[in-house]
Amino acid sequence: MYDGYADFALKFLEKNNVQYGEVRLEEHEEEGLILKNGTAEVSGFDHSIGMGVRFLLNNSLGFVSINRFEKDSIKKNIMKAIRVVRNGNRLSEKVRLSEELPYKKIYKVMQKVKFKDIKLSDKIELLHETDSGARNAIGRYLSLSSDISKKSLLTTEGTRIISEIPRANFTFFLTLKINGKSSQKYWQLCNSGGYEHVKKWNLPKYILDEYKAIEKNLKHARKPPREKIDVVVGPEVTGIMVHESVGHPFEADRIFGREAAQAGESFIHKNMIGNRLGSEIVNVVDDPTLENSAGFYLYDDEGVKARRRFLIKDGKINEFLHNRETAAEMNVKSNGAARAEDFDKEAIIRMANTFLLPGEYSEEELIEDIKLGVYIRDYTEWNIDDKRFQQKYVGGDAYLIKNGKIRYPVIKPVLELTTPALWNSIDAVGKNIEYHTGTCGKGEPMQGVPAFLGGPSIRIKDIKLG
Amino acid sequence: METLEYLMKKLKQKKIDDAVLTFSANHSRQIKFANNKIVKTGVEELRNIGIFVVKDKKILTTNCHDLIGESGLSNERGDFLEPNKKGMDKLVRKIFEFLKLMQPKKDYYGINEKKFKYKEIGNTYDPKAINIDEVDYAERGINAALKEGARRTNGILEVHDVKSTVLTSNEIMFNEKRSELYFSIRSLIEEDESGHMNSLSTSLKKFNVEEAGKTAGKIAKDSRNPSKGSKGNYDIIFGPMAIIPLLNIVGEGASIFSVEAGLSFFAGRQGKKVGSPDITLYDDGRLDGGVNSTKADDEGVATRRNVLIEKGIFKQYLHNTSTARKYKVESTGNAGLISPGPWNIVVERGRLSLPEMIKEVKNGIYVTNVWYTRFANYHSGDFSTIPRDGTFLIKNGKVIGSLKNIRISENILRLLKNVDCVGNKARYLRSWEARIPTLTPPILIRNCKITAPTS
Repeated sequence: MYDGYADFALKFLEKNNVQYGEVRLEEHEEEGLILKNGTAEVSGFDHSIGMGVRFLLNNSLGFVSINRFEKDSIKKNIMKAIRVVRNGNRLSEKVRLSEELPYKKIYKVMQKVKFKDIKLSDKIELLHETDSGARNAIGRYLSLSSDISKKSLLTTEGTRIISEIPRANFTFFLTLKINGKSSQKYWQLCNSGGYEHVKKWNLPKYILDEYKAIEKNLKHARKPPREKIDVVVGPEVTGIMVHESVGHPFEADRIFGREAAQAGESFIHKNMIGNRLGSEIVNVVDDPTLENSAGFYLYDDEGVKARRRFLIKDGKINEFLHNRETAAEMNVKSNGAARAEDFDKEAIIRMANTFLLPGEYSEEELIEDIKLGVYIRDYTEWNIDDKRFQQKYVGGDAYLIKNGKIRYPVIKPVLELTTPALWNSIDAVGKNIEYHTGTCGKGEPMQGVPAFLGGPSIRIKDIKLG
Repeated sequence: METLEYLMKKLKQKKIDDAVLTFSANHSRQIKFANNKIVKTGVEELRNIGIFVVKDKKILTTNCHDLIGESGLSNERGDFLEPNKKGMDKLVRKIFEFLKLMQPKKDYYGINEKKFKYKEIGNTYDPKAINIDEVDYAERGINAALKEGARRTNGILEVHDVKSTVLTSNEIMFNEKRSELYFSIRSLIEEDESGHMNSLSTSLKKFNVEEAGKTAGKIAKDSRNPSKGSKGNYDIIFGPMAIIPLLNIVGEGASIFSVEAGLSFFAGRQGKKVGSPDITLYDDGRLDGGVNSTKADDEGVATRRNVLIEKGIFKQYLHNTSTARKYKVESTGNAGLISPGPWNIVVERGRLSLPEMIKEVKNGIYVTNVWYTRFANYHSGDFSTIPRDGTFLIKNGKVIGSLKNIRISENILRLLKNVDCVGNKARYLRSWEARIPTLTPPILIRNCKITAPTS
């Protein structure tokens, strides 16, 4: 019933002689529940719908977001936006968009097990069962939710993409306190698809394993070595490293300074394609087309067909993430990285699923040559500066490696190093690739979008822990 | 608001225990600029009804957007003239189907029943503010920064006009309206030379884009030719922009919800010493001209000023009616029906000016902004954050240069205990990482741990 309003808005843009017009109608059907310390805190559902309207007039960019579906109101808001664009024209960046093929497509991610076929009471029971494995934790916060996102994208160039992407989400916070010391883990799981993924996650076992890992570390961990050592990090850590220090600095809008006020810029400049950033075995891609991934899509929010982006190839900078604006700036085609959190935000350049490509070694083989080192399976705190140059990862579930064997847990090993130091210190890449989930934050106003952060275990040579 | 009344009537017919309905309408405009140019202008009109329903201690929340169609029949002011009965009846049926499958929250104790005499708060709505020429104001801020020495400026200007109505099942109804102006500008010169400042106000009179631009430009100019910092312990003066992300976490940590979820370093510390005698901090729902100020909280309890930390002693957690009854205290007027939270955070002013504070430091750093604050453990308070923009080395009471590539790796309780002095001039700010508006002067904290990359 709302499609008529999207067509109306597009026609109204055309009538007002915009150079380019785009209407993105987004609808979300969400359901979720929270269990806190074993009690069903709150449950709910939500059905939201709204329209994001973007246009170019005199090469200046205007945007309207509205969830008031009345024709007069749509007209009034677009006219208001046109007035603001005209008023700001003298100060505006002259935006060009790369030439792209307009597509007319309909696609949908199937729910093998439909969310609506699983009773809420069964989901609550699943969370209770999951919670019981961690009941000695002093803080337990578990959240299970689903979101069916339906989009229609229409442009004045003839693009018409209709999509439906359902996602399942699970988030937890566990806080353990033993002998006066506490430790905490936050993590999230997400897949596009239906409830079948929730079943695959096996949440009761998953949380029990996480609980045991934190407990073991709190009870038995000793200080990690202070000298230079080799460090093996597991896929969870590789994933965040790839996301923070490769994905973000490869976003072309950062490189051109468009997000400098908040999300920041990049230590990489536009003329650095072909420069070495890591050892030859480092290959990093970002791929929205990965099936059942958190960041899945086949056409981006500008209607550009999605494809795998090869960010680092054999250790060298290969390509950046582009939307149509930065692609035009660099005289290339967009590689389909434009994405918006919801209808009320403009689409900006985002990662989808960023991961290090696997190598040849098992995790055991990465460890067996190490005389003295540390293995870090997961992390707690992390951050990186806004040019993506110096970063910190604090290990959670981590162990001493001695003479090729895992020995005892160690207390919070800290990796604090620069991006070139990190990627040039990698001398072996595992084959045990895993994909983990993050909600990536960027933009002003802030937008959070689901993404996979992945890769296999990797070995980092000669690192001094912080 | 006939629509809210109709919806409430339908819910009551089904014998709900408690309900709160909130209608909100937001008209906004936005100018985003980068490299001294406008890169996007935005216009927004969003409306929503938030619904909170409790039956047999089962708590359900939902939102209602799809009643706001042509059939919702609204007038120019955004009021509904006639309820969309069919749509609402369907929604009520869905709410009750959903409730049947839910479980009770055993420790739920109801919503507010008391009818307060609300006192209006000063300076929360200024018609002049919502009618500004946003392009002109953005340009003034940009020019002020360029005049001060910035080469590139980036940021955003936002104008918000927000109206809301709350109706509870205890027949409490109240309206709020708020204007909001926000300007954020980051000035850059060469790589690693930058400054950032914001201006936040409900009134045009206090919205000062030129001052924000000038300050951002000056910090950038002063930060020229930074050298790499070294790890070690330093006394740090946190400027207002730098301290607000940490003060936001302090405010959130005072929520009883955070305490119960294991996400607060204040757990078990009521009445105990958590900071130095030099720090006193409030949550203020009635701050004059406060962007988040409101005469009543989400269930109609009159808001007030709550002392959170008084001379280093943690005084109280933030509660709504249900959590207050659970802990046998009075509501602090901070609903959040699910999670109580602070409205505006206010740090009590001290006696020294910023130059006087700098004179008090032998070996230290003046940090004007931070970025990417992340906690290893909210229960213990261990975290790190990255100084960004002008970061100045202080030796023997004088600024002797600027720094880059350092990180503050600390614990929030240790910082509170090491507060040595609070400045005498406060700024009212909100930022990308600090969403709760905060009024704070600079704060001098002794003996903070600075780390740097090992390779």
